[in-house]
Amino acid sequence: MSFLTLESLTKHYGDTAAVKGLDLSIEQGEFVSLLGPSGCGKTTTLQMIAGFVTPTAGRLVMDGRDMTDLAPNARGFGIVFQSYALFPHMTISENVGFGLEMRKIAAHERTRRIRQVLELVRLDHLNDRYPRELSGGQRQRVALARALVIEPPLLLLDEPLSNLDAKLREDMQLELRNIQRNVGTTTLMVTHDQGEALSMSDRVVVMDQGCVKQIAEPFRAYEEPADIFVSTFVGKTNLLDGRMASNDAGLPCFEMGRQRFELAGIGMMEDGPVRVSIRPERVEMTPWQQGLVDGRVKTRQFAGDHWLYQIETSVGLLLANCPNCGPAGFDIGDEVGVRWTPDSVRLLRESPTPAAGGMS
Amino acid sequence: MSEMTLESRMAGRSRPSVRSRSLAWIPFWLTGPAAVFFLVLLGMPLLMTLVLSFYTFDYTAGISETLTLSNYTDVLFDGYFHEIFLRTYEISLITTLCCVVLGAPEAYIIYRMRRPWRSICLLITLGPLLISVVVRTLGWVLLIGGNGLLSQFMQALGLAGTRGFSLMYTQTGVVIAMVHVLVPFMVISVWASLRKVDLSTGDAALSLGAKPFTVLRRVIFPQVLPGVLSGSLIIFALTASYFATPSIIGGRRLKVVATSVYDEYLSTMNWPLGASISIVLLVLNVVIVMSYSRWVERRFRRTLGEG
Amino acid sequence: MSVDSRRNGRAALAFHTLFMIFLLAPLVVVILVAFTPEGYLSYPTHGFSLRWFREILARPDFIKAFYQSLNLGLVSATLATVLSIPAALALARFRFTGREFLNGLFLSPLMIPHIVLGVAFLRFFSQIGIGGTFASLVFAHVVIIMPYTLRLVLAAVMGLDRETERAAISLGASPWTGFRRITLPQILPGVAGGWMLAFITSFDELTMTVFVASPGNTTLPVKMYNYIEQTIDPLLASVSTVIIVLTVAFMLVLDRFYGLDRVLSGKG
Ligand SMILES: Nc1ncnc2c1ncn2[C@@H]1O[C@H](COP(=O)(O)OP(=O)(O)O)[C@@H](O)[C@H]1O
Ligand SMILES: [Mg+2]
Repeated sequence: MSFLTLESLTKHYGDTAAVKGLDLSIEQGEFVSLLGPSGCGKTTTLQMIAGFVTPTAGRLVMDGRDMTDLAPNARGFGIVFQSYALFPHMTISENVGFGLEMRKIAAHERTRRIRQVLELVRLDHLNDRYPRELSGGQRQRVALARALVIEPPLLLLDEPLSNLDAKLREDMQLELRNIQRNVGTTTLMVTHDQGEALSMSDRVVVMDQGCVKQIAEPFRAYEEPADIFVSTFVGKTNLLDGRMASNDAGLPCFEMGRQRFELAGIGMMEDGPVRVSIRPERVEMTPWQQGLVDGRVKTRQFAGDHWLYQIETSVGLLLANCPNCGPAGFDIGDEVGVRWTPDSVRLLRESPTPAAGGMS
Repeated sequence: MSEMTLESRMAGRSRPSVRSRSLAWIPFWLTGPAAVFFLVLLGMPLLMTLVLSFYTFDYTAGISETLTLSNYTDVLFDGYFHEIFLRTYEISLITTLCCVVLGAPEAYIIYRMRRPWRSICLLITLGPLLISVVVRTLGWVLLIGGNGLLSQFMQALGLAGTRGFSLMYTQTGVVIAMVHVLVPFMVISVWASLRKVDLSTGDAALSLGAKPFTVLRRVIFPQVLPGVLSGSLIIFALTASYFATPSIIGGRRLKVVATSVYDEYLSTMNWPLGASISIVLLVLNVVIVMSYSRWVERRFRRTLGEG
Repeated sequence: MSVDSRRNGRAALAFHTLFMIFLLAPLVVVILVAFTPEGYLSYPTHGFSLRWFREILARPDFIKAFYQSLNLGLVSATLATVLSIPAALALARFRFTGREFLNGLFLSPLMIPHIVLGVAFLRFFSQIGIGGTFASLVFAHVVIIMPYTLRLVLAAVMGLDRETERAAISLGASPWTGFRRITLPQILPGVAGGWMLAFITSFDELTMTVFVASPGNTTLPVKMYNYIEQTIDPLLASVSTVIIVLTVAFMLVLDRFYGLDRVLSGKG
């Protein structure tokens, strides 16, 4: 029995469906991310769990208890809002202590727990400041401390890091995950940043237009995307359209124009149009005529630890991600070859059925 | 309106849970006291005045509850009232134009000032709005009255005879004082528009070769035009029904609509006639305000709508 | 170039000076006349005198009217604010049947001429038998000043980060506690600004009050207006000077506290 279960949770705003029949179970202590483009219904889902939005249909069950109709102030979940929603007229200590005060916890105990949680987020020296006197990252940590101090059974984070600049965001990703591991609170995070979702979560729920597309461990969501949406939204990819065929040995292969490419780990399929995905980092560049196809470098982008090339080939424009190992790579206009291993090619389903596989 | 979750709980499509049903009543509880207060204390008096305006008045018998239209025929077709209404709206129009000509440039000038001056001048301009109208009008009586400063000044210049020079009981006097009373509304209205204007659009125009005056006319003014128009509306509507200043400066000799209502009620005691004048004034005011704002809205919805 | 283009030219400054003189002249004249030693309206050319200020103290009717105005302003501004806060919360946060109507209703006194409201209240209050009482003055004033309090409270509520209240509720606060501890402190500047604007509007109101006031319950503006109808003497100037000084002090507080331009343009 899961710790938290969402059963076909649905929300309509007038005629538009923000969330369509979302099913999800979360285990105790797990860190799960809701990942999807802006407007796909992540916040609505989170707000329904928090109790600020009443579902049109569906149930929310926690520890065997139906919480669908419980008032938000009776749920006891810790919530970190996207804007942080710190109380501007209260000091950091007062902000953090608010939830304890609501629970009528005695003053000395309150002080102790405030100090403890502020130590946890490394802000104990700033307890007398007001929110506007803090930096973005510090505010973020106050918001986290305020949510954690009430020792909630469930922590809800709505885009917690999206207001921070890139460098700080990476630091906070690590720190947030470490704190969560230490405290062990079951956590549901909403984000539109796939890197963040992949690096922080135990499992990722990929959403699009109110529907769940895939629920999987980050590695699997990346390596085995359930469909075209997931494969393009989670990471960059090369999409190739072609046909299924069989080669001389009678094994399935992917046919594009006059060229055929081997596939690995795929059973027999009917011939017909299919689409495959090849991750850029699986595309290897070789000298002219030594790869599977030949092409010409159209653009290149240097990103420090790697180069990103766009190569014009007979099968279309391909993205290749090559690690930077010292010498400058290929130049624009260079004639190159391109190759990949058969197991790098992922066959994509068109149907939007969420993958059942990959559940832990 | 970004927060619409509570509202949508109420949209009727949500599951009929106890919580959402009790939530649906919250806005009515919250607005209830004020709504009752207004319906009783605003609705009833206006309704009773409307009824009163159809009653009959007789100088010996007073008000009787016989219904008649004669009050309205008097107000609408009598040359005496035509003159009063025409004079009122003439004063309103001139006052509004003067306020535009004085207030709009002044707002821009203050807006371009440097730091301490800017807030000081704004304070001096807007401050009089908070000072009693009676006090401000009294100031004008002392200035433009029989032996006021203006008269002494004119006498010194030899422009007025020994009997002095007075603008009391003249339309000019009323307009001057009205402009003084109401011009801050124009400044504040244009000011509110200016705060939304990006002054670097002016620099952009200069960089494209426009002369300073062209910048003002083609770039800045069109952007503050909504402020000018809404300020004009406020001023026009207020002047058309203003009482204190026309009453003190215009006196009985220069009657406007508001002072004639006052006289019907408190001197002649012909309440039904006074009531019908007020109703006509109210209707004219509402019609003017409504059609003007609809026109403005249609004109500017695309470019300068509230965003 | 860019800095210079934003400077005011000589003509603009000349215009500005004339405008300021126009605005201040009547007030300055009133203050000057108040210090005249003569028994009639004149400028204090032969030295200043406080005799007309002492004269105020000998006029209990003026002093009583002043206190009446003060009381009326305090009571009606407070009542209007108390009615406005819940109404503003509902208008800002809920979309319900009749919302547009109520919004229009609460702001309608801005569009109805005060003279019309005056005669309407005169009839209404005398019909229901409370004509001329202090209560009737309060009722009438609440109606005309509530648009001001409502607009400012509404702007404050709209400008509020709604999530802070939700955060409080998620931490276990009841809606009432959330309002009292989180929302109210944050909208307090708007509430106070609205209260002050309402107070001064009530304190200054003449047109409508002329009809509602009675000899026993009169306000300072009405008292002065009736006095002007009879005669104009330096007493009016000295009373006016007191009003000007008090209003300017009040205005400086309001500006310091909230920003006069924000209060008067009704924006948050
Ligand atoms: N209160 C609301 N009223 C009407 N539509 C809403 C409301 N909140 C969200 N929506 C709509 O529901 C969809 C999902 O919104 P949201 O959950 O905020 O998306 P996300 O957080 O993934 O960006 C959007 O299309 C949005 O326009
Ligand atoms: Mg969101």
